[in-house]
Amino acid sequence: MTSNLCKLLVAVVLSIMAGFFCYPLGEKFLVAIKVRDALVSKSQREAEEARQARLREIEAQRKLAEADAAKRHRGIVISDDTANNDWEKGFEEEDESTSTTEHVAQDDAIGDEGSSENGAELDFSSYMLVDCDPDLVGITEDKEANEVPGQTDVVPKVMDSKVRSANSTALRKFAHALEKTAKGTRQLNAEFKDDSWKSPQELYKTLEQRVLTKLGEKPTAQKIIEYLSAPENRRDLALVTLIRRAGIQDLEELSTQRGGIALLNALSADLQWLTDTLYSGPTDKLGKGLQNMALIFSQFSEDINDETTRRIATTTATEFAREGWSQKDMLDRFTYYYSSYKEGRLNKIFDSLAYWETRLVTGNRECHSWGSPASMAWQRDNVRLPVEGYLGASGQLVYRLRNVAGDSVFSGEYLAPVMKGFNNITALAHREIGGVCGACSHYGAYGALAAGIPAMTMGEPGHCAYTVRVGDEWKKGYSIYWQHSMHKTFWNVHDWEFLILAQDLYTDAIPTLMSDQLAAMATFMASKRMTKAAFQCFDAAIQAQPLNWPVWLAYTGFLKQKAPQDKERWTDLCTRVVDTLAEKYHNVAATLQARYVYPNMLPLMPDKKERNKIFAAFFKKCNDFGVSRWDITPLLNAQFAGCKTEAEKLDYMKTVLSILMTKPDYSGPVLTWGLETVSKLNEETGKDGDRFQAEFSKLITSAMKRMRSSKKDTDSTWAGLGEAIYTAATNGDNFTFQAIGKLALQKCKKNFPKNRFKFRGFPGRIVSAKGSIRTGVTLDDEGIKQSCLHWAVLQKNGGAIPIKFEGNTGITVKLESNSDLNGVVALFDCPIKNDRPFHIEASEDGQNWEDTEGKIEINGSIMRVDMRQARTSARYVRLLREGDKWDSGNIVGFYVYGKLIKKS
Amino acid sequence: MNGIRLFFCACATLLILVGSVVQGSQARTFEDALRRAGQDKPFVMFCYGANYDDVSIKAYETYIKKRDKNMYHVLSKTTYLVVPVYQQPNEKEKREYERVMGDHQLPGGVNSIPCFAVLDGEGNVRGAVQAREELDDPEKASKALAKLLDDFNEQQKLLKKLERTNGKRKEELQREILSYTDLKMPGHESFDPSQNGVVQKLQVMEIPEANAYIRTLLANGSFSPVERQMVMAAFAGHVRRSNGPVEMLRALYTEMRNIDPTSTYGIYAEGALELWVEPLEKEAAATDTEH
Repeated sequence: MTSNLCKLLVAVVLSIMAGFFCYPLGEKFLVAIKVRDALVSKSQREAEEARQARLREIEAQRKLAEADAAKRHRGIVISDDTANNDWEKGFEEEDESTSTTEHVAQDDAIGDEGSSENGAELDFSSYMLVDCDPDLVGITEDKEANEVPGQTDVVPKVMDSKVRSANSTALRKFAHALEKTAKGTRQLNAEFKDDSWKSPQELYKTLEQRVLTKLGEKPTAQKIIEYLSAPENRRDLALVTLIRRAGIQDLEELSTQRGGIALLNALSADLQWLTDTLYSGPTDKLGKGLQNMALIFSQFSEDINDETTRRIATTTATEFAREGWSQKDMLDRFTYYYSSYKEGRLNKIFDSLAYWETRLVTGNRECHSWGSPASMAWQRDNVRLPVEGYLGASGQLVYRLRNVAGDSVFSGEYLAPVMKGFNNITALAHREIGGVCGACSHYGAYGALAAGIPAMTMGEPGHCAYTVRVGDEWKKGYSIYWQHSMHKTFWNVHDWEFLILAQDLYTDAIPTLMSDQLAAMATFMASKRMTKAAFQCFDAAIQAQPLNWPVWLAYTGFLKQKAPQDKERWTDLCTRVVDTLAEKYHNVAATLQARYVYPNMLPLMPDKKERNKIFAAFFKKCNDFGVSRWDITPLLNAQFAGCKTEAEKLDYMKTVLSILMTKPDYSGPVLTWGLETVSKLNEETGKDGDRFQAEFSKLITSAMKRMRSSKKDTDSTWAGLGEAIYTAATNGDNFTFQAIGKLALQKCKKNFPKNRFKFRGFPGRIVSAKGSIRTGVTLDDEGIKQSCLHWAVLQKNGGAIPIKFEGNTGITVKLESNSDLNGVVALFDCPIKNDRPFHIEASEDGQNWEDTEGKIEINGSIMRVDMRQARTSARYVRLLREGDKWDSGNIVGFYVYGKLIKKS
Repeated sequence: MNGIRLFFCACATLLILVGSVVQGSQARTFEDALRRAGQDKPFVMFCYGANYDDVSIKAYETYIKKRDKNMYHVLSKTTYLVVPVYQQPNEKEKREYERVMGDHQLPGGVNSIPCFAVLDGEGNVRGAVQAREELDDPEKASKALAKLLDDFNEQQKLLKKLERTNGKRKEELQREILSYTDLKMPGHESFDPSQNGVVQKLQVMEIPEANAYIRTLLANGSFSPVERQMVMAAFAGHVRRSNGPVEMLRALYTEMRNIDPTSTYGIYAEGALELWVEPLEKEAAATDTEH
């Protein structure tokens, strides 16, 4: 024992001695680290100072440049913008489904203007997103020279399967060539530089001639595909497209702008950069985009060859031009991402983003609040998370409709006092003061965007949510509902499925690139009045990539202009949409059909059987919701609009209901649509509508029998009916509300409670039992599924309806008809807190409300309101509460007593 | 023979001693850290983004790998755990995370990574050093962490006392516990006038009645400085919207600011004075001059 102790003692002494000898070494090591750190921090300090000085210099230069530009372009820029706006207006009108006759008239006008400059291009461009600004001011076209025998204004027959098969082989070779180029060198001979760009018009002519010569007299799709397989030819087409999209005037201005020629030299010599600029999303106002790029590179010229800087600059410049945002904001945004990237403060994901993805990041929509450099820098440095973490970042905010001072989030006073103290950092102000769904979602989305991760906010009915791209998948944050309206879009369509489509489209890079280039060629051919070749190119472009939404639009627009009466082509187009897009992207296909195909095709198709067959083919593709739940209503409306007579309408409904009511996902929405359509018809047609409604009711009753009520399908039936009854309540449609409620009781009896309430009522009958009820709560999907229980709240066994009392929202009941009211009994599912007073209000029209001043008694979970003294008559009754506090819980029974007023 | 045994024994002891110095008080796993912290002690969790974030990597190198002297001094006095956080982890990375955290998720309260989070023995994040201006400067970061740890210990002492106290003293202690604004206290929610009905009640009151209500509330209740500021903000907001006397607004916002000018509601009060009170005072002065 003693010897062991001695040994331990010796060991300790030895270790102390070792420590003694090692200590100086450690000291030296520490000193060395200190010296190194000092050197590093010194160099970092110097770098930081240099960066700051440079940013100051940039700011000064920018101000000078802006002042200079304002002087030089006063007038020119304005007129150019006006032109662009006019074009946009044209497209928006198309979105609102302009009538066919208007377009025919437009076509005639173009025909008359055949000899004018660019006449052929002007018209169809209205529908073309691929080539958004083909108005080449300054390029004069020689009509005679453009006449191509056997090509001009010749609409070819629909391609047969043999030709498409041959195209398919050519496309495979093309894809191979593109893959090879992607791996190999990207630089081409800098053939077009300096002086060439001073006269873009001359350059365009040279290029145009070269393209046409190489293609020969009668280019076919295969010939064109072979032509595009060579990188030099692709470059020629890209330059032609660049000049066409940018416009001569903007390019001329660019060539005089500082750094303009250098940019064009570099861009035209780099096929990859050119491709990324042109084919990574829409390029509206590309001329302004290029001017933005030149402005950036005039200040960061040493970085023009840095791939990431190019990507940031190109995407920021083009997106800001496209959105019409200012150059100052554009430079601020570029500087933010550029400096964040250089400092290594962005998430690694940013390094490998493609151009189209980067556009979603650098082109984020808020320039002055959430997207301001100050707010983004704060989030970048204080909300740093792995990508998945941003989906929960909204939880960092306290949910406050009114801040602690009682100011509403919708007023300017909510944040005003702290903004100065927090250096106008929106994100910080909201984190400290609070916010509601909008602020929470922006906080989450802009946290991700500030780190260079694709994300965006989106609207939902009565709510704001957001989405973050994790891997290749868009994941939803703070979402409560299936319907989303995306706040950042490429194609001006805001549905969720279009975001998924964009993701899938650009992930499938090579086919998309082929399709984009073929579409660019189609546009060029069309501008040269080579209609036949243009049709073939469009056909091949769709064949190469059926997901290419802008190409579908461009083709539809072109078809509408060149062959509006060609039934065979329209039918072929419709069938291709069903065969290619509808398989997975139901909503995208439906949007294309409803907005662009049906309005042109259906008038050419008088036979209802033929039409119904086409509609049925679409529905057969829809076994479930596909990519995500979508709104089928616009499609059904577009199809229904094609029916002229009552018999046709009934026949159509019969077809639709017979197919869709058997599909669990669609039964609810189609029922809801049917009910709404009939109620609208009823309003429009009066007595005839009643008759029609009766006919329709029979249809519905027989169709509802088709709703599966096996154990397996009870859930979907319950959900479908819940959705339909919710819509009926929102519309105040008592008839339907009651019909669905009773049907639900038959089909899903087990879902209803069997309460036996004991309470003291009032004299008279219950005038609410045959009415409808709705809540102020914004229901999520799950809540809507349970909506048949709302109907049960008005019945003797009770149900459940969630409550929320906030301002003028509460529980509203539409009575069977106008009634003299005696009292109200409301049964809650928990004891009622008496901290805030309740009110019962009444109304004749659901718009103008008066407090009934009824006497309220609360006993546990039962509320009785005696209104006998007040002598109130009304059609609507609502229950409200003072203050804005959130109340959780349900009302399980709601009974209005009174006497129906007989109609005089 | 004995010499050889002695040599090996010395080596082993040396290794143990050196090992304990090198290891410091670093826990290997989350469970280990929880166990070491026990009921009263805190532990520090250094979270860093291991596969997606250059800032995290730099912080890891500075603080953990190269052991920044200041921070190491703080960490050596407590238990700490290094947690690599992975973005879209592959299998290897998942295993690496699981090795440290087991099946625990990253606890709530970590708003930004990298960070030094201070946790209690139940795994609740009580506070964190995660702001850039702190983490970029090791001296600042270590001071901030040391303060959090000291405050944690003080707060724990108060909690112990709280268990043995009743009545008015208990309320005072609660207020003191909540006065550590950088430290969250699970189970002790702050009084929030927008959520606790104060704002709603004020809406229907005349100013004198509201004044009496608020003064009574503040006199009888037990509030931390921040809570006091919030209650005053609620009252001042009501006075402002009711077009109450500007002198009252100035007095309220000034008092609110002076409680702690650097806190959020101190900044709010300062902004309110500038935004709402001063223009009213100027207007009043101009009217007086006219008269």
